[in-house]
Amino acid sequence: MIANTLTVILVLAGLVFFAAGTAGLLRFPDVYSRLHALTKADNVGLGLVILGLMFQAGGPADILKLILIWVLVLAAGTTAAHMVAQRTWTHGEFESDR
Amino acid sequence: MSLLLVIFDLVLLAGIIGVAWRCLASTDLFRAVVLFITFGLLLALAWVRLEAPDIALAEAAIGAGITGALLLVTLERLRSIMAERHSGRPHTPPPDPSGPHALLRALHDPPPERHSFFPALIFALVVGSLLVTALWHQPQSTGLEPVVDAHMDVSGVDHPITAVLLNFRAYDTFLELAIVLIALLGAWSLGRHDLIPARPAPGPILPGTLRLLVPVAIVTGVYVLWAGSHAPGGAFQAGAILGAAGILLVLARPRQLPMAPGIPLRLGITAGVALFLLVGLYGLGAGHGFLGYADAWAYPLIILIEVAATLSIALTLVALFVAGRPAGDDA
Amino acid sequence: MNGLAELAHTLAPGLLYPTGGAILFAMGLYGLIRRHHLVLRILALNIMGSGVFMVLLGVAARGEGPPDPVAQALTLTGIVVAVSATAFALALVVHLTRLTGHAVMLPGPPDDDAPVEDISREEHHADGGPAAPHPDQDRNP
Repeated sequence: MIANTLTVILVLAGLVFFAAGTAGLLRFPDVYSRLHALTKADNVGLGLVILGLMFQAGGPADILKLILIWVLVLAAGTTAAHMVAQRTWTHGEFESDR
Repeated sequence: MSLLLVIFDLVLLAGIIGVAWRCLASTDLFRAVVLFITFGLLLALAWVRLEAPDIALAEAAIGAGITGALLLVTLERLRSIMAERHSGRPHTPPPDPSGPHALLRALHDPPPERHSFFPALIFALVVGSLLVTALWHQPQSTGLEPVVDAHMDVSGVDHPITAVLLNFRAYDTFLELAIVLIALLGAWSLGRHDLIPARPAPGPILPGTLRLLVPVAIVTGVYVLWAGSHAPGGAFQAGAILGAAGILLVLARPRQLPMAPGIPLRLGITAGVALFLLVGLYGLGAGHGFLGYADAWAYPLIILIEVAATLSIALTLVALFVAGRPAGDDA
Repeated sequence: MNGLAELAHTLAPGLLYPTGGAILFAMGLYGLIRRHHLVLRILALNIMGSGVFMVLLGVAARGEGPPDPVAQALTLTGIVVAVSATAFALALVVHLTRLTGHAVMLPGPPDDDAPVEDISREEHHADGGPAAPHPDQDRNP
């Protein structure tokens, strides 16, 4: 029961971060601030969701898999954000962005 | 609870259809491709909802990931070809200040003209409503699930989808691998004129991440392959994961592509089909029919075929991404 | 109450998702007819294919028990075939652009004033082994 409550609270908190990140992605004016909103918020949001799901995991193997997912998303998200920012820095923003 | 699920279904479907519509209506090809990748990821969610985790894995890895990479590299190729032709002299970099924007315009498709609106709309509406009518009046049936369930003990594996793919309907999978091979042969027959037109990002970030990601991808691929015998997973998902790792490697250093030697590459690409064919012929000779296995041999043979198929699919996906025959090969 | 039960039956995933799949198929068809750029047409074909997959999986999930594994295996096969066909089609588009300079299929009869000598030159270039590596292509900014 406590585990379920914790799961609900953590996942909901994670979803708040996701919603905030998405709002930033849609509303912020340029590529850099959008990336900022997206990666920061999504990393924390996903971390909270994963933390919440850990209380539902069947065993240590499942917990390890969940952590692995989080680490992979962190690494991939960081790299992708870096490359998008670099592309924007050298080539300017896509015309179609606005 | 059920009401929440219905709301989830409706929101998800609305999202999928909306993204697909934006993708099809987009005048900017880059935007269309990005929306298509989003579409694939939303589809993966829908497949999970429909209790098809295998398909969700495949959709996320192949439908969204690999197809997206193929589409993006195609756009980049088209852009560089257009740039070459517009600059008049081949192989000159375009003037850069106005560069990106002017070149991106080459990847625009003007909105469709008015006169095709009503015919296309009416045609699509008629086809769509016929489909909906047919689907709503289908008789209820349990499908083939009981039949598969009843024969699971002779299949050699514990996961029904792997059993169907590699035992009960192995012929389909054999032909599928052949189609993958034929697609690559078709792409190769167009010549060997393609370098990857990507400009690698300078700096240590991408190589550093790859040093982390590629080993993890290899371990994950092997795990997914092994898990396929008793849980969602299998050769196609594993092949897609390994292929994605290969594509990342190609992207990280497009100038120093390790030139795969011709013969081993070809052997690897044909391994899946060849081994499948050999096993099938052996089954024919041993009296189990084409692609039939003796019950005791089913598990090892399935694993063998899956390993070969994974290798072939991964190599073929990378080769399709690179497109064009390997250099130094004057066949 | 009866009407509510009827509605719940209508909104069951076994009926809802096939309907969505049919809509996707029709939308893809519409895009296929109206758009001219070949990459967009390939996207439209892929969306039609996804509609078919959605119909298959939705129908497979009907009823009480576990979903039909044969339909799911068929869809898995379909996804791999779709990516192969897409890759081949994209290779054809790149080749067509190389030969003619555009990747657009316009309505009407084929364009007769396509520069013929241009094609031969490009083809020569395409097979001209040592000329293939473009020294200027990795323009690192």
